[in-house]
Amino acid sequence: MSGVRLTFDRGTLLLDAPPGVAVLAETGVLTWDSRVGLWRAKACEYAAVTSGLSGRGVRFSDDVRPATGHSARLPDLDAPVLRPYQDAALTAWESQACRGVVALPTGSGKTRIAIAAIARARARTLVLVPTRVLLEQWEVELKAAARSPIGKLGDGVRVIESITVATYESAFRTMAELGNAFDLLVVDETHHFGNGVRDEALEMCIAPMRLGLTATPSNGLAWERVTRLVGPTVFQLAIGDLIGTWLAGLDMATVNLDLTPAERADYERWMHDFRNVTGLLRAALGSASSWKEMTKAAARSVDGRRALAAFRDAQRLLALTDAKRATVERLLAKHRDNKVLVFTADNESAYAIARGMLVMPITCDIGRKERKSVLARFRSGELRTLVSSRVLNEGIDVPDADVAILVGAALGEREYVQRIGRLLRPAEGKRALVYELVTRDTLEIRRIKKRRDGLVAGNPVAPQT
Amino acid sequence: MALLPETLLLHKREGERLIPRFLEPADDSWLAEMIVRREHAVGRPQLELEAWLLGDGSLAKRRLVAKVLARMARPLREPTRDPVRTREAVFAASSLVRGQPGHRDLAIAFAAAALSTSAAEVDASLFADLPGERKVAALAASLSPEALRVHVNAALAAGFLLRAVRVTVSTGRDPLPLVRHARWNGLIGERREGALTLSGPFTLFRHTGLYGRALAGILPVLAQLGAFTAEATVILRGTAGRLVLDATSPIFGAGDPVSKPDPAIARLAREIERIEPGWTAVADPAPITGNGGEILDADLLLAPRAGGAEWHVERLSFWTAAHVRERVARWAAVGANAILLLDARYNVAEEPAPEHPSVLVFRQKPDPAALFERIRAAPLHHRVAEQVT
Repeated sequence: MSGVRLTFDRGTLLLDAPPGVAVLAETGVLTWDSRVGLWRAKACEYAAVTSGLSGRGVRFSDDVRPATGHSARLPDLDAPVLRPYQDAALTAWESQACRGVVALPTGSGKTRIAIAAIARARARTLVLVPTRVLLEQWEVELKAAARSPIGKLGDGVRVIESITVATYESAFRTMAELGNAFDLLVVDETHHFGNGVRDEALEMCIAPMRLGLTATPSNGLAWERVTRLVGPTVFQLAIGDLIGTWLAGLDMATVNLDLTPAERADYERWMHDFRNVTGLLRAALGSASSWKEMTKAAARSVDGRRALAAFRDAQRLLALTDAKRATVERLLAKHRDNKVLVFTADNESAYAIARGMLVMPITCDIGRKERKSVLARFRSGELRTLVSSRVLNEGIDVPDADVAILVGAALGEREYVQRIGRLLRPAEGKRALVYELVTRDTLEIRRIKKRRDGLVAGNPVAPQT
Repeated sequence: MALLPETLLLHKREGERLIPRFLEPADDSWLAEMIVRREHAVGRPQLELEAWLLGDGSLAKRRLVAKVLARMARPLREPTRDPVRTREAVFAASSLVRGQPGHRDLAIAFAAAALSTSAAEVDASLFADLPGERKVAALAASLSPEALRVHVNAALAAGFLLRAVRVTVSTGRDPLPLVRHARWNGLIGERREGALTLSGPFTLFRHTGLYGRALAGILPVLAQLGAFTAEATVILRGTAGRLVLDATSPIFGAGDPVSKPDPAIARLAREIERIEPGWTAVADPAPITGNGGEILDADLLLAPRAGGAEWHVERLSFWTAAHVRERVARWAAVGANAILLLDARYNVAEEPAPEHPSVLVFRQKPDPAALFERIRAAPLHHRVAEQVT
């Protein structure tokens, strides 16, 4: 068979060959689409389709990419000088046919590796980022390195260039149109993929080369999906591997606190209600049942829902106890000349600290312009404390913070690693200090050790519920 | 319309058929109670609204209604001094006096002095703009239990369609509004035995959120069709089911919902009628059909009030030069006067647009004056069949 044409169609590939051609079905990725009378494959199978066709002697015209314009131009940028471990990471990625995830701690220069990858691959590149703040950060970094213009998709801008940065959301909305324009996908904070509609952006793009970046690789089904869509973890170092050399030194202090008698009474009552119901459910479901299965089962009955509500009440109490409030206030006074980040389990606690102790909150509710101004004022020293529940967890460059107070946590090991990473951007003579506030004889004790495992290499983060 | 989580898509299964648990007139009494409860919530924190509406009840139907009702009006912001400026002053002062006795009062007093206001006002406006502080607003118009019932049912139907991989619509009416919807949303339309099946290109492999949203968007279009039957294949908890909606489904109320033209096109039509009073501009005109059955639908139809040649205006979404040439040729094939509007920002391949009297490139917003320059420069009964360069 010869003379057939391969084109891009709304996030998929179309091959205009007749039906019933066994050799096409044998590729394993092409499916006959009776709706349009053509063979169709997912765009992400582009490399498999072309090699499958060539390998079976099918001559075809590859009209998948746009012929002219930004898509025909190649990026023009210099590869930055890399540290030894960054160079090793890039080499590992290249040796896996330029597909895979590089897992390195915050502050270790993942963006730099990506810029080097783009320069060395000289490929049209789409960088996917989770937030508008990161969109701006990547744009600045890439503009500093590139001689060719940088495109942007998101935050109200739609400019496509040979290197374009896009938010996940914009990519999700536009990949059906633009999925044939790039050969390299850089997926920042890759751990966000694997179980949602965002994956569609990766599936609707032809890019054969894919570089995932994360501080916290995971395991489980979602990560298996990431592995299929981006590639396997090709290089991994943890905070513990780089502390004191390429990252700032770190001291950690656990502050054990007690509940007040009234808090203890509430806590025990709520946990008793919760354990009563979940004990019965676990007995019914089997001891191997997951938290997700258990909560799903609980949500089916009135008692179950009450038990879950009691558990949430207990967690809300632990998020900011009286002792934690007092300790945060003392620590803020003690470190009034340091730059301090306070991390809470939820926005409610963040605002309670913001309002009660007058600490500037950085939450999803604070607009981009104000957030930018706040971070600049934090850098200059005009502001010396920030409180946040989620927003500062990942990606955002927090300038020069050297003390963190972990008041509460909601998301376990991944969140823990990310938060500590905020402090570790290296500086001359810097030694970061982390206070972890823990309430005795509560759920929090059990969670600490597990969280700390994430600081050690080779411990992929457990999937979160 | 609120997009509902899967847990609130109330239904029962009969074999492969999904039967939504739509609200019924019998529910109107407790719906009326919830409306009253909603009215009493005006002025309370918006974040607490859903819980407030639920009260002690946790029935799934109540949770569904609370979810929909909580999203029916944009929350209010208390009128206060600029909170961003207040925060700037307060937190800078706080950093200066941290560790001193009475730190909080001191910082607030400093900020109040800097802002020439009282400490009480500084405290009140500190976070007044944040969603958590916003207050429940009154609904724009009084809401009857019947109207709420229809609204909730429509949200429920949209929730199912969002999880659909294909929808087959049979109607005695002209299905062209559906064809237009499919074209704008990247859906594939198949016509077979009088029925039109819409699906996304990815349907062949799996359900996608992108094309699920496009399928959920057909509800207002169905309302325009009058009589219809729509059969959707819906993936719920990983299992396919069949959902059937028709004109008797309790999801349409009087005058609701109605498909409206794209706001940008509606605005352009208004501007044209303002600067060219001798012309009418109709948004979303009826499609035209060529002799060979070729169907084309424009976004605007421009007609001189005194009679004369009409012009069709079509605005393209993402475009390439090849796509533009193809559209020009298709308009030529039906023998109509047409102008294609191309947004320069949506130039996918960044190659220049074909030079042709029918092609007008704009940035951000089409210029009605430039559009009429094209129309007036064209020879009478100009056709788009000229060679495109």
